[in-house]
Amino acid sequence: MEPHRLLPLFLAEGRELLDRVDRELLALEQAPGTCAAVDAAFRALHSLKGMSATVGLDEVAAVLHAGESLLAAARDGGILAPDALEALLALVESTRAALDAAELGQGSPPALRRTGARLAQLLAARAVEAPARQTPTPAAQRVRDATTVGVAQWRVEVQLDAAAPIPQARVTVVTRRLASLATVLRVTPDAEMLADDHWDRRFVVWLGEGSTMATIDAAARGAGDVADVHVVREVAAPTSLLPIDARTVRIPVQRLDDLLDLVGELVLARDRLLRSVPVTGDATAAQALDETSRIVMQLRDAIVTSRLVPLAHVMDRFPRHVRDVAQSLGKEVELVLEGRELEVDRSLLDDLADPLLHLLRNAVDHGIEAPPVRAAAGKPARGRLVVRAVRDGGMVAVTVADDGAGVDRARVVAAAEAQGVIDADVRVRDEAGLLALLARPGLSTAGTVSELSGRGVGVDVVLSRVQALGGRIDLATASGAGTAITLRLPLSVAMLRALLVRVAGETYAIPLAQVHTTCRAADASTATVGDGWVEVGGERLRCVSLRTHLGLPRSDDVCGHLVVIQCTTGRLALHVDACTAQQEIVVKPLQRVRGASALFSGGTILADGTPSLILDINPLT
Amino acid sequence: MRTRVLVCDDALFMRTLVGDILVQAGYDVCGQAETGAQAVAQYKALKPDLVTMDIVMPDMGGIDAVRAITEFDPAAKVVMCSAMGQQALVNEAMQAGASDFVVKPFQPNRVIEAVQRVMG
Repeated sequence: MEPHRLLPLFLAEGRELLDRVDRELLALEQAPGTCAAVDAAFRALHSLKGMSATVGLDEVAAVLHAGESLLAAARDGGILAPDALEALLALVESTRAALDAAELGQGSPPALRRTGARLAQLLAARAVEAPARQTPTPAAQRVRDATTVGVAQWRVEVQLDAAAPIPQARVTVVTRRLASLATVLRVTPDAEMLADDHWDRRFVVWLGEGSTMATIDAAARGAGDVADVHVVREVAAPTSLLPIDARTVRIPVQRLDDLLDLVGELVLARDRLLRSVPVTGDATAAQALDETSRIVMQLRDAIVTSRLVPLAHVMDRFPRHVRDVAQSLGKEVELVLEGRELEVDRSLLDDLADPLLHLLRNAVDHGIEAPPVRAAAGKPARGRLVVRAVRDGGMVAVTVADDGAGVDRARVVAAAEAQGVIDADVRVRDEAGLLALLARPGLSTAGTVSELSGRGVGVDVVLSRVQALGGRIDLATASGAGTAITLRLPLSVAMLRALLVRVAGETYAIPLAQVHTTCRAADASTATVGDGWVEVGGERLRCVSLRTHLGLPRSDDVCGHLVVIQCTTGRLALHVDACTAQQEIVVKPLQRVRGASALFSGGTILADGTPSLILDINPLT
Repeated sequence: MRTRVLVCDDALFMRTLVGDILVQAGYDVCGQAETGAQAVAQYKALKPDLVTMDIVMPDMGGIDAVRAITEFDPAAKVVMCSAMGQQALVNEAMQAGASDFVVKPFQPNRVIEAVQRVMG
């Protein structure tokens, strides 16, 4: 089957709706009987059902319909039983899988069928228990069922009187009158918008086959408080997709990437101009350039801002994740989210999700103790897990903090020694060193391999992901009191501040986030600086010559600088000919060629127009 | 035959006011109820053509009464009578199956218009 033209839009919006259902179901689990949560979940399921049917995912639509019916029982005053809640959560999960499959052009996964069967079973049981609850009022049912699928024939635009009291209820009156003439396919705006005081009292009802223009017009006009009605014959429009607010536009991320790229180039071109114009001494040109320069920077800010999205897109997935992990481990965890509203670059969002999910899983699995253990330690049985996001200069800092047992330093060191990861004489002097140990691939301290963690995918993966993005990780842990891990990432990955260094006449860029300190090599307390060890600020560091690293001939006549780099395995000193400047750079990804050296993570054009490569720190370690 | 109306409100004043408006417009007030439960019982006993229903009443509110009545008779016609500031309740009543609504303070013509609309 040919994929639907709007499939990408469907998938994006569908996933958002599923996230919303997840969120509302969890709210419902916390506070059973919350009508707002039931309503919101219902609406989201309902919208997704209509959308799924429109793009031809009939099986998904059918299963969602069953879920909706189950939820309707709660919506009409019943309480959602734990088994129903569980089934609905499973529904979200399998629908997500079905969307993933649809994206790849595959059929619905077996899990969806299982969920469908489970929902049908629950519905059947409920129908026996409480038949009355299963039958919503006929009129309401008519309207509700009508909103599912179909091709609109009529578009009825209605303007209510400015003085109409309770306009939202009037919409129901109008809709119900129209429902007696033809199937109501959709009403926009949705209920949420209607409840808004600023709503302009205009709404549109899409009707299916049947009736005539005059009858529809008369029915709508006769509904009371109606100022104007406009009935339009609709030509086969997609009907059940969510209303798209005309004031917002969905743009493929790629286009924003292109824009940012271009404006980055523009900034660099401006910098070159700024250097050359004073040379010509033309005052008019200088003034025009000043103005242009200011506008270019404003343009850049506007584009950077347009790419920002709230962290909620990622963080709202956490409650579900933590709940599932905690439940499977028999632990009790209270999750606190702070800074959901903080906005970050769109490109960061995806990259942030996996590392954070991993840290959360670790925190629940290894950090927070089982309830009896906590009780014995005099802590509340319920562990507390806080995810806090804050702006920190040009970076976003996301902290995952638990009040669990903390990292057992002695055990980690012992395990590392036993497994030959470190020499016995290497002292783990601070948290960075401890983190470095934890990040050693393959180091396992977990007594038993649990279902969730301890399978070799660990902190090392998180660390390398974060560093690849120009960020860094900090660890703070106290035995018995908990662990906090903080990820720091640049707000925008396409532009970052870099330290420029020179080696053999070439300029290389190092992401500033990874630079700890710099010093003159002469100040390091080892006479001969080369591949080996140096002591900087009282700390013994492994020293790597960038010349050697890049395969360039050694040169003994340059004393040069040391750049202390914070990397996966702790700190190391990088010997360069000179540190030349700090600069904002636009990162250009490098096309990876098979077999090519992996020394660089990207390229950039410097303000003076010369190209420069961005050093990848990971191969150094 | 004149249209028979059941008037439900816990305040005698409001019942009288609505009753007078209806009678003057030529309707037959066939019964009154001061609680939701009474409204449901009266509806079943009298089978009126139309019900005017207050929202906040003791012993089963108006919304539950609408639910019970439309369950008993899906074709039942109920006009909700609400005070200002009860938007959410009116919306709920409409979802529960009410046909229309008027907002207090009542203007006779608005009450009659609503009744006429519902009676088609």
